[in-house]
Amino acid sequence: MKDTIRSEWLKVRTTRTAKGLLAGLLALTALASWGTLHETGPGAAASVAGLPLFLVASWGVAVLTLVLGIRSVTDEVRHGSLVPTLLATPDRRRVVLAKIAIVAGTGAVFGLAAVALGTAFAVGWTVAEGATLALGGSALAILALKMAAIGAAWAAIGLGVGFVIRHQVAAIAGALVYMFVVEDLVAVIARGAERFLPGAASEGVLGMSAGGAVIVGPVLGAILLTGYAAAAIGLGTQRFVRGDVT
Amino acid sequence: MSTTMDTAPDQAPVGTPAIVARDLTKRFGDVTAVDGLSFEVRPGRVTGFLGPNGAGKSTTLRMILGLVRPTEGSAAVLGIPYESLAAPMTAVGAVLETQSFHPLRSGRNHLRVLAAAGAIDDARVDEVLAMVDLTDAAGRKAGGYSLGMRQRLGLAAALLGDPQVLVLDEPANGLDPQGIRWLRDLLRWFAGRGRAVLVSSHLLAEMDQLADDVVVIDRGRSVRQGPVRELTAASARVRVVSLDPEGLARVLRGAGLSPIAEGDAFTVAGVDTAQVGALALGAGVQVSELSTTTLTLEDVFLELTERSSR
Repeated sequence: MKDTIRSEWLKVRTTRTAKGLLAGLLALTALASWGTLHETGPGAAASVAGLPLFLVASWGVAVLTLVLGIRSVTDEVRHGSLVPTLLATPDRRRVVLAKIAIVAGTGAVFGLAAVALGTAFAVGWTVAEGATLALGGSALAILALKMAAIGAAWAAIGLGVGFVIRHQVAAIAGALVYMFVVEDLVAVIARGAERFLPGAASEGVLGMSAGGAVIVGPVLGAILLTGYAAAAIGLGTQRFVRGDVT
Repeated sequence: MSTTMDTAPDQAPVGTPAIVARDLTKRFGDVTAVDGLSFEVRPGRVTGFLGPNGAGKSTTLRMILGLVRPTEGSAAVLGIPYESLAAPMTAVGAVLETQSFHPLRSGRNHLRVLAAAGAIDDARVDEVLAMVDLTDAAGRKAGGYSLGMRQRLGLAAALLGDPQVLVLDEPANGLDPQGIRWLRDLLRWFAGRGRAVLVSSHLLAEMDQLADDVVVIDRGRSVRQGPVRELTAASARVRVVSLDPEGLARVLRGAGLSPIAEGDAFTVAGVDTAQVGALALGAGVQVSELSTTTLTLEDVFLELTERSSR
């Protein structure tokens, strides 16, 4: 198993996909940090961890780790490298487990990177403006943990989506349409039900929502998000293990 | 060549065929791509896997390698189903597609990724890069490689585990004449070490020179299998020319043969020159030319596949 994990890790390290997505996330986080701090300032936040910039950053983490997970499968399908992968490791469940370990781990790093950059912006802004805002060590640690969990969960969801929809463009386009359109539509059609969907569950884990939208608590949010990740991986694994690689 | 593995290589008992396909069948919906195909590939031999486009060659190779699930039948490599091999890369090296790498990954890193999965030391990566003459290009992105370089990168990946069996799907595609000769020498060298090669190709003249055995399939079914020499010898014809062609044809037909007119000559299957000469002499028909025409593998292949499609 460790050989398969090492191989998957080398795949991540030897292309620019993950690095590019991380750069995109950091740029998005920087923009969100600058925008929200410029507009609202520290406001009523008791500590850095309560700043709304992390809500925007969490959306970035969700979207980009979702794409990371999808691409870890669809890149292999698109470029034909799935064949040598399976020739080297014919046990397809082992390939899935190794991909989960690497993709979820990388997703967690994305979450931590967003928290680190957001915090750096907030501290820098506070110092520059002469304002006071507590760092709140334990609150910040909990925020980092939540963002890491969000990154890992969305990457795992993406992995499952990639195994189910192996066409890269279709998988990414479908995932983005879901993230930006479907959940909002559900909120309009069946108000209240949307809080159980993955995007809102992610906000539930974080404990923040846009415009005071109703969200579930962090524990239920974590359970829901983990459930969605498990369901996506389960469906994807079933398809991947049984399917032909032609 | 040496490899560093932490998994025991799969060892087949002496005498075990390198590959066995038994009644392999694959249906995609209503389409039967492979239909009850059985054959064996023996160690120390290069086995050519021939068939027209769409005959089911690639699907068969993928079933042998566990990529496509057979609808019926089974396949084994070194006596073991591919999925159950403990160290697949030391058992089988395969090249199925011209492009099977991320275009933005360097050739060396592509091989390092596969070496890691097979618990093979990175030093072996440099060895196989040298074997396929890609050392100088190893640091470049593989997407910028020429078709021939891509084929050689695929072969390098197949050779990583110093395998007992090579399975190659159209490996000569994109290679220039020197590259084809290099490939032929490589495969002959490989088989010369007691290892097995199963290679599909549509370059029949090349296979005539390379293969020891052939499996010819058409529409998913086996139409002929055996050593190339036996196959071409069995298809040999006697060419005979006479100043009295009508008399000669009459004599040959009278002996139950089916002479085929080709200009001023006849070709006759199923007899040798001595028999034809004796028949003509016995009937007093003068013969001006008598020879044996050995068919090429290409002739045999076309004859077999045309017969199969009738």
